[in-house]
Amino acid sequence: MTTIQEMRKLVEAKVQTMIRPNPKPKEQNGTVETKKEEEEKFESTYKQMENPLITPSSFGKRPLYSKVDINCDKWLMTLDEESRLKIDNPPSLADGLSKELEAEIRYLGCELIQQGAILLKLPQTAAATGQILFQRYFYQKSFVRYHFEHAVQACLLLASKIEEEPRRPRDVYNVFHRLERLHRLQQSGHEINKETTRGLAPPKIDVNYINTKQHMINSERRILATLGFVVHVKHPHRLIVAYGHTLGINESRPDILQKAWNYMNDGLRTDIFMRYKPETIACACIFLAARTVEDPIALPSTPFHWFEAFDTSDRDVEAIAHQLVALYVRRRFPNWPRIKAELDSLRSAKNAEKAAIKAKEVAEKLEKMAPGDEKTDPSSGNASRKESPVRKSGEKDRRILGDRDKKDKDRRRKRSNERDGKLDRRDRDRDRGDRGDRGDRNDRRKDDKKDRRKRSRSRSRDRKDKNRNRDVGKRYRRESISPPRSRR
Amino acid sequence: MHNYDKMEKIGEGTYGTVFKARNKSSGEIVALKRVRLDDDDEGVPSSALREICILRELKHRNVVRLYDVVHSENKLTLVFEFCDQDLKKFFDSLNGYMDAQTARSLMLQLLRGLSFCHSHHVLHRDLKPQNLLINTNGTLKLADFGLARAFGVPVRCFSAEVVTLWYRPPDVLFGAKLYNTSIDMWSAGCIFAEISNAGRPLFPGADVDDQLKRIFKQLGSPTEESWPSISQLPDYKPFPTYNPTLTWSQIVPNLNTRGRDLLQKLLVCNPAGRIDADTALRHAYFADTSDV
Repeated sequence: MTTIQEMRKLVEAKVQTMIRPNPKPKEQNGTVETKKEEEEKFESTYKQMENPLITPSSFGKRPLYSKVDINCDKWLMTLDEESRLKIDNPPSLADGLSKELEAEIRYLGCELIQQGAILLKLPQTAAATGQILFQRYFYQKSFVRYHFEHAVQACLLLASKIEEEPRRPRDVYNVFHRLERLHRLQQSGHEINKETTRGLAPPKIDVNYINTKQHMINSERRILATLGFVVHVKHPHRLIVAYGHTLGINESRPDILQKAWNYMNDGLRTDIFMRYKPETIACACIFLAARTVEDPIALPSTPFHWFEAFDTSDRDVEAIAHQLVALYVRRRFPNWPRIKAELDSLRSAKNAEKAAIKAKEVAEKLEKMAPGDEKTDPSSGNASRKESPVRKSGEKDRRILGDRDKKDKDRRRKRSNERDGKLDRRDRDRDRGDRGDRGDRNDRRKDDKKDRRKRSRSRSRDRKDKNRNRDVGKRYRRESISPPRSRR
Repeated sequence: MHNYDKMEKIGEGTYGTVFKARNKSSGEIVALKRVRLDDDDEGVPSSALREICILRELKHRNVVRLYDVVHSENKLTLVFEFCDQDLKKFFDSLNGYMDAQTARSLMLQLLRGLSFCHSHHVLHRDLKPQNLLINTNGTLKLADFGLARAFGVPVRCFSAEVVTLWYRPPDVLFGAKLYNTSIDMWSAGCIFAEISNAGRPLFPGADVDDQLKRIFKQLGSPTEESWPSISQLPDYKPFPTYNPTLTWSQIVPNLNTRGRDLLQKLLVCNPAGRIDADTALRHAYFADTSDV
């Protein structure tokens, strides 16, 4: 409450400084009064007068409609230091993504959500919610680590639920699949019309579908967990209508309202919704629309700018207007395949890096374990032994070994093979966990099975080898110089 | 999840099983609502989503508290404050007699909880005795916000399939898609009558038509005069005028005149004429302490 009062004082002080000696001060005040009255009338039509503490919107006072306390303010990322750092340095940058590309992906993701919402016949509020969720999520997580394609679908799914127009994951997948195809068509220079899109059928239910759906659902959960279930969004759409009504332009200039509305929907692709309150954004959209519409009009600016009555500063309005105008300078649609390729290379680089670190760790661990091995085998004095666990199993040893040594070595190799295999698998699992892809549990299971099969096969082969060794050892000793493993 | 010792199963919620559990570190008793997240369904159920989003914002004596949400591989566990029983079970323990003092206290708390929700722009949309929890000390708490939603001003189109039939207001029964806080006030009225009658439901309809018939038999059929634009409702059909067979004092014999007055103000067919929670709290029924 204190902050509101402080804000109010600030605004009032500001207004004081703004009021210059005016030729017709009384009339000006009069207009303001009528404006307030109108506003009051407007509010009262919605029967919102129960709470006597809250009076209709005025300087610094809490406006009625923002009585909705479902966490609209928590969306702002400018309130605390930590989030302010994040909004200037999105987490993707730490993974080597350039700032331009990051913005490009953001734009693409929002565009896809917007188009997807249209194809899914979702209301515009759901499209807006989805885009804000998407933006917000990727200020917490990195594009390199989490596929934005999954997040786009999850955001659509989630937004449809939040706005009470639920859609099935299957529908979302269909729509996303179509968008992807359309994008590819466009990228290859085709026009989108009935001719070119004739062949596009909904995708079949196959492994791909099942995997994507799993990714979508997992991503949805991750988004919810990351955002702490703060998913209700207050949209400025309604505010624009309310403010327009107050300014008296709803009936006389519907084109301004329409333009403001468009600005706001396009503004979803920028970060203004993370930076400013919906009230501020609504004001900025009307401000910009009134200036850029074909027949511009001047909205009241004396004794103070009209938007100050809605608790908005000229600085914020101008900043948003600049950002919105900058949005239209964009020449072309982001290149999806290029983005994908870039992300993939970053991902693989990251994975390789991680794998290298892991390999090093494993090597160190084995190094430590090696002396223990030696103790169990007191019979040997071979210098090569110490390196043996680290050595790749495929590596060939060209030395001619004595009988005993050879047997020994075989056993050792087998053991190290097994160990390597196991570690490998664990490594990969850990990698997967790191990537957070709980989604490919199925894959992993399959992999596991395959792995196990492979391992058992190799083990049995080993055993066979060994048996053969035992059986025909003498023969080998007698007749052949080459060790049995060369047959592999 | 290993923070909690599961003790016993309490019941099945709208979308999950509810367990009683003890917090290992603090010894506090909580209720755990477990939501299964099966891989092959629609993701997080929207009712769970609503409940979490809304309850994490609402902190009030008469609204059940959501302490925590534990997110694990294939389930979601909501940690709630524990209450001993719900209003329905409480009715069963009464043997058909409710004293006026308790009835008023329960109603007062129900309206307080509602007023708080409404002032935070949250509609409950599923008020019924099963969703009102009662502590041993007689505190009543609104629970099960699985159908609740936050609403803007003015209210938008919402789904018409809300509120258990017996507690559904006539406008929603006629298929109205635009509704506001008045939807909860009707349910509160039905519950008020049920409380004062120690658990006998007011309008136990069998289907939508029967429900409307029961309502209009008591309140009189609405007309264009008493409820303008009623005929524009999607599922509207005219009902004959019934002659009231029972007077209010026969229906709710345990209520005093003021109580009956409040009940009649809650049970108004036209949603625009229904009393709101704040006004109801200032009603004379809650003012007099010298009872009947």
